[in-house]
Amino acid sequence: MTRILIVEDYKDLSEFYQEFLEEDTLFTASDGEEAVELYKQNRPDIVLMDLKLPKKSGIDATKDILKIDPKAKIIAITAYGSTIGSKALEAGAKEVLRKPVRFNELKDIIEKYKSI
Amino acid sequence: MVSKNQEKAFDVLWDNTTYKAITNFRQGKYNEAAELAKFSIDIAKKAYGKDSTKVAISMNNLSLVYEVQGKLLEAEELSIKALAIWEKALGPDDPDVATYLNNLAGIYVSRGKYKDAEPLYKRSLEIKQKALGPNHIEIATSYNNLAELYRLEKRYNEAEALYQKSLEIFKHNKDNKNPNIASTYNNLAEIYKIKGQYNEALSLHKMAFEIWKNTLGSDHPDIATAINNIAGIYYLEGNYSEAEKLYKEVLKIDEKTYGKNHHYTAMTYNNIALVKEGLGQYDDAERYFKEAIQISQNTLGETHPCLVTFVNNLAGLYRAREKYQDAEFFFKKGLIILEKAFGSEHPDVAMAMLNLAEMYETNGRIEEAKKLSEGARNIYKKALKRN
Repeated sequence: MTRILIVEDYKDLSEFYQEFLEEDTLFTASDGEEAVELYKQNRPDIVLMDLKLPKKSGIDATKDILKIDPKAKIIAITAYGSTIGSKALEAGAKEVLRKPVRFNELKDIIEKYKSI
Repeated sequence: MVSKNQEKAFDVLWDNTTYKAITNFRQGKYNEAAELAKFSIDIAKKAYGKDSTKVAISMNNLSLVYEVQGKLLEAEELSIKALAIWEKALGPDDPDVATYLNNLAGIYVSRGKYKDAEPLYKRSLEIKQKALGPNHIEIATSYNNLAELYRLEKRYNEAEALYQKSLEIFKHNKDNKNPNIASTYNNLAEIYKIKGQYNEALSLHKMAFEIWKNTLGSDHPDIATAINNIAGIYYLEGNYSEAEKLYKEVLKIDEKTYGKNHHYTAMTYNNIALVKEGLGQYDDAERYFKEAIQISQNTLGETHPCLVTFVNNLAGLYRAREKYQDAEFFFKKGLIILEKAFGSEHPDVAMAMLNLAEMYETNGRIEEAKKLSEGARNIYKKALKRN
């Protein structure tokens, strides 16, 4: 079973991801600091990282997680286009998805990182 | 009854028509190729009978054209008929049966019928190994095809191993300029890209580009794909200036090959817009996104699902620039298209509603956000059960 950390401050969207990924082992964080802490404790296989987050941004959380584990598979998700998306890639996110994410796109990307 | 003279005339006519069909296909002139392939089927049926191998060849050619044109059901039907004729005429182990199996498998892949494709590719490979030996160039192509299937099935390690085997055969044969080795470079590059090994991916994509440019000419549609792939890696690496330069080259080829009003051209406009956005050239990004939307509306209609990506990209740009009214307009447009394309109970509709709800909540429009969010929840609870 794949272990996935969902980092999303908008509760309703986080619930959607949780329902969608219910067959996996899930950890959920609603801000960047919590995301880093949960990563440290649980070492999930995949991280779904929203970029605009309270306390610590998704970009900084990505950087911190990669300091803990340079091989972390972080998929950034943003509603703010490629300017912020490019910063996530520079920070070391594997890919950036733009909101609203399409269902099959999310499914494919999760399956892809489960296979690598 | 066809006389000997008539038969000779038919031979010449069929040969010429088939040759022209193949030439047009190779030049990317698919409509012309389809008409010529249809004509050659008619000639073959009339001159040699409906079960002749020439009918099979012409049907196979037409199915390849249809496949490229996205007419997959027609392509599949023709390919199955062609394979049956060939197997009946020459037996199941004839080396050409391998080619027909391969083509049908390719159509199955295009239709997403991966499980049906795998045994056909494997049988094709076995026939070729038996007939041609383990190091023939054709075996390299077969490995490449099977690897491509594994890549699509996300069996990346198996795919990588087969691409490497394919490359070994090309190297063994010292065949470094074959367009098929370019395909293998290109596909292996995609695996490296997936694994985040961008330097390796870039180097292989460039090698593929050089071979295709020398063999196909610099205006062939496949060259646009090759350049597009290189630009994609630069984009992922954040090298936007280089990506922009290349996407503009792709645009020139697209406009020359397909004209301005074509979905491929729209996709390239969208890619340039993404790069412009990354460079912080927001007005240009807006202009290119709008162009992509306009072309898509002209070519695919106002409610085609392909339009959604462009519309949402523009909305995202507006949201990032805090132009919330414009963002709302285009996010809503995206939502309406999804509802029309997939029905109102599709998970994509729920995702689009949640996205809009999140923006409302950020902007203090709490009640509207709540209402949309509840609507989304009702949809995805049902939709996820179905999926």
